[in-house]
Amino acid sequence: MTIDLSGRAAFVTGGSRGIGRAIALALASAGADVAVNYTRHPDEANEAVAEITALGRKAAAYQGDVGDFESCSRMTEQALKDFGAFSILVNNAGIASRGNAVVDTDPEEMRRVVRTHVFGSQHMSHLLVPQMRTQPRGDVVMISSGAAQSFGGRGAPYNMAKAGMEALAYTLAKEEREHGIHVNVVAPGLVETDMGNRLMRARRNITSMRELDADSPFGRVCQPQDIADAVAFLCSEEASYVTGQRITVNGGGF
Amino acid sequence: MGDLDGRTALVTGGSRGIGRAISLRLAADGADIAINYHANPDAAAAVAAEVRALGRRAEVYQADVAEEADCARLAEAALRDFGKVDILVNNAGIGATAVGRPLVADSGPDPFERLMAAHAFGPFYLCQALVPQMRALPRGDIVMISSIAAQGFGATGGTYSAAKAAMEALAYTLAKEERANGIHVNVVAPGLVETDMGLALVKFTRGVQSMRELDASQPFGRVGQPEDIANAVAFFCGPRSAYITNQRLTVSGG
Repeated sequence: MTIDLSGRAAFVTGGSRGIGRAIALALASAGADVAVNYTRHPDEANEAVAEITALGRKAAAYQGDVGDFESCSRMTEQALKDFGAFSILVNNAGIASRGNAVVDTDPEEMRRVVRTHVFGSQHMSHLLVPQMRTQPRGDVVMISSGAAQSFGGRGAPYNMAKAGMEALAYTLAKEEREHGIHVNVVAPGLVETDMGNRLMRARRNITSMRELDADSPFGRVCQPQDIADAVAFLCSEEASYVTGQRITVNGGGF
Repeated sequence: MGDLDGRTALVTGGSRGIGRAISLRLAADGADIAINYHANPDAAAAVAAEVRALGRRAEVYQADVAEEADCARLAEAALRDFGKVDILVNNAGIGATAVGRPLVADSGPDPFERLMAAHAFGPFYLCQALVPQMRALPRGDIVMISSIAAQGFGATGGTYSAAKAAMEALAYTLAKEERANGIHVNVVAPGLVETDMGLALVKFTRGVQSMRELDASQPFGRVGQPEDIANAVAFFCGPRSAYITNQRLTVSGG
């Protein structure tokens, strides 16, 4: 399967690290120019930009917290100046919750996690979807999580956030279909990222993901590239009749 | 002798519509009722009088569940007056029509945050405030009044659907966390119901002036009634659902 995204530009939130970096690179490898949003790690964002540029694509990094509307306005205004238009938005930026039961969770933590995932995805859609309507095709991909189906204990802020984010996606899909905009969800399980590593250290008391490979589906822990492959597919001609859908990338689960 | 004799229920938004029917039904089954209201003290006083006429105790409490401080004050006052709360019904809500049913791409941040705060954050605050004392009771019940919008994700309802999806995520997470403490957490998801909110919805979406115009086209030849929802809540809190938690009952006539 050839995925050709040449002539398109993508805005990837949380694109400097982990899954977001893999998505940014996968879209660039398929021919797209990429705007990379980051929050706190300019060095890693610059690294991602350098890697994309090395692929012969245009890239730039934009600092901002997607949970803050003003911040999103500022970023998209500058990015639209720099790139002209975006036909792909990947709402990937996310933060983990701290692993407490509902009763023991700081309400500010809950609000912060919901703000980032749900309000953040709406902020970015609000700012970038209107200009997608006049393009031949638009794509919005939300990076959710298996948590939005399993709703495990000690994860309420994250579970609430991902459920809300998916609700936005399925609603937006119906609203924007007539404008040629596709909205889909990719839901990873455990992935080998900094966030995944922290989660496993906290929950399963391991020091390296390699300890989990043998017990994982297909004998390995899921990699950021696995998620990026699904995103690239959804944005491509191969998925031109696919919208309002969810692809779970977890090796079939446990 | 009623199924809920000796138990106390706090019903948010308990003065009108579905909440009023829930308050009256739980009282008819033997529970004392703490009735929360937001803006209409006369309606709350009228429901309290009806509850008392059933021989049960009732008190009314003004609070905006979207506000953390209001929820803390509400829980504290109910616990002070009744000594305990065995049943929490998170029913208070704001209709999507109240914020103009914007497209996801068009919604400003404010109405979205308001709906999320009322439907998802409010229940979170109240669960935090009331679950600890429920753990010491023979049985605790939390029922979330969600909506079929959390499954259908219809266009122009994204702000409402995302809020209800987050509310349901909270319910299913809490159900797992508190089962060991004898606390049941379930969801009731109404379709169209004959309430002020329901009427505002169909006036907006279908241009009708009275629910009677819709009866013929509705399941079983009638629009859903608040009592239909209250029946489901009473079932979840009663002895016939002693082995039921983490579940969702859709009351929409199919």
